[in-house]
Amino acid sequence: MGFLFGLFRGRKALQEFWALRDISCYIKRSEVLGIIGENGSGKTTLLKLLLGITAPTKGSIRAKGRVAGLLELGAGFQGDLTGAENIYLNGLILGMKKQDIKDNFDKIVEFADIGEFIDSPVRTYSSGMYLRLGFAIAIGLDCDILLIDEVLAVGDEAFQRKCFSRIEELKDKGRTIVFVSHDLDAVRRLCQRVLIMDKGRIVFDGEPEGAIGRYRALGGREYPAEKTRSIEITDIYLENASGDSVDSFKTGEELKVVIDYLAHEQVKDPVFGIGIYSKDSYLVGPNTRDDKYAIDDPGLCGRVVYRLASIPFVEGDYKVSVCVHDREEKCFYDHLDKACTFSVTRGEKDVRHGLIAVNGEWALEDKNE
Amino acid sequence: MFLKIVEILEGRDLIFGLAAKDLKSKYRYAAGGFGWMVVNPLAQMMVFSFVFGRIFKINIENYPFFLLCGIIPWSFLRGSVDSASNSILANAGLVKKTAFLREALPVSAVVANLVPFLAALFFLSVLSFFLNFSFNPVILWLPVIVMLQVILSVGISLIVSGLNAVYRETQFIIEILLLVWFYFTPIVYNFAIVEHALPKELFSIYCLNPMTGISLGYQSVLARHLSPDINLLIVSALVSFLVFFLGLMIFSFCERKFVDMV
Repeated sequence: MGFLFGLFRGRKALQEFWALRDISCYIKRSEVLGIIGENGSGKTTLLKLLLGITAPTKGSIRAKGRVAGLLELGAGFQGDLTGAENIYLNGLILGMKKQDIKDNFDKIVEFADIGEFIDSPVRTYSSGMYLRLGFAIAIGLDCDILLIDEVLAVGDEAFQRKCFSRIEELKDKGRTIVFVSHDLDAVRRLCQRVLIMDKGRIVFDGEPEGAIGRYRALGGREYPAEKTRSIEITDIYLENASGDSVDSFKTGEELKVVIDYLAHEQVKDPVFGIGIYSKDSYLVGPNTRDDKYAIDDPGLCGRVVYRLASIPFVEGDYKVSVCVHDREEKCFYDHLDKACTFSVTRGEKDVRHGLIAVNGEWALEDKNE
Repeated sequence: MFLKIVEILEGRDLIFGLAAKDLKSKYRYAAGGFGWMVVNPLAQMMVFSFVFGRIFKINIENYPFFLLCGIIPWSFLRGSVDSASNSILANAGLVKKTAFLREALPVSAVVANLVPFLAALFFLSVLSFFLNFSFNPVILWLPVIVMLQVILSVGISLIVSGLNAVYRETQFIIEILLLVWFYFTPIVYNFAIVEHALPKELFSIYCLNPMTGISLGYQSVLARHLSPDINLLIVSALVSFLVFFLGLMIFSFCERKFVDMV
């Protein structure tokens, strides 16, 4: 059971718009594939094609086995019907047979965990309950190939964890899963192979780590949109050894990243981190937590400096991002994507090849002795 | 084509589920609930009896009942078409986010209208019995006529729902067509006068109207206790099936555009 699809697709009636172009991909049975990309890159259109909701304008797509997916929670919920009635209806819509639904009914109700509300009309549900029921129905489906589109970003932590462990269970059972998400951490955990989509094309196909690095370098928004601004980064610039604020360095020179901040609230133990990107790669990402530099009390304002005694970067242009968050990386106080640019020219050692310059030594030795 | 028919039959659970959903939404929270399905024909009967019995007399025996025998089936057709024309648009979320048998939407619209129709038909049969005071075997023709009408209704529903989702002007055109069609069918007047009133060619077209055979069928069986006109019924059957297949084709054609247009 696998996929084989080669296709081009997609037309808006008013203006021709190719949502996808030149897609050619083979997904093997039991593979867990992640798809990441900016909004508008074609991820959802791809899933719609895989689900059979829409057909390719050019090319073809084939799936061996039952495909089921979750594009939108509660797509098909009827407000006047009870949760139980909606389980039946939704199950039917998603393609289950009446007997299958009956068999899985208890499992679904248990997973949703909404108590007596299962017998109340769905329009009385809170948005959280709505989501729980929707996900419980979708995850309770018996299918060979499961597609999930960004829906795991909802719900409280406990429920998210439940969803995750369920998906992992399915992964262990050997289901083929295609997982679209902005949560790079989840993608890293679940997937064995990741595609990056950009403007309708596949621009990367490989290991999760490589994909995540590439995605960040491409400017992918991996930081959550909300910044609490408890600590605000007011300025970021680069300094050389003499203390001058510059944007040009030589390989091997000293570089300092200077981060000025203001604390609007009392924050304990913030973690500052930077990321340095070349044109194609995410090169380094040190932060105060990993480097074991604890900041107990940041005070009302201050300046954090990261000093690289000798930069290993070769000739080229680079960008610097900075962020400040709590220890667990759950709450982001502030972040500035690619806030700084600098260029590097050849230094003392005339390094021309590779991504980084290293401090190695050459020696001519006598073999005989 | 035939694959589609098989798919529709296999999807009957879904179709009944959707129809049940429509009916529950409509009747569940109304005081009197499903009773309203029979109250409507009852009310019509009373109004017609008063108007045509006292105020405006027509020289057709038992005119109020005769009228009802034509109007009730027509309401079924009308209701199906109205529900169906909106069915895709009303369920846009479903259509765009899940993959399922889209035909189930208009078909379930017909089924949802069929239930109150059957209730009303039962009511008419009871009245018919009281008019005749005996059980007339011609009533066994009813299931056949109903089936034909269902096939016709499904065909039209497929056409209307598919077209309206893509070309929104369809619902307005349908309004007018239904108006003309109503008067082009022997519902309010006697069929007998039509043959003389129309020139030969127009009369042929009149007989090709599938609802002609069907309406006459209901009137014959219920109001006159006679077997229906076989020739007209056969014509109705052929046209109904034709419309049904046309419906499947048109719907398939329109379906490809749903995701973009709905």
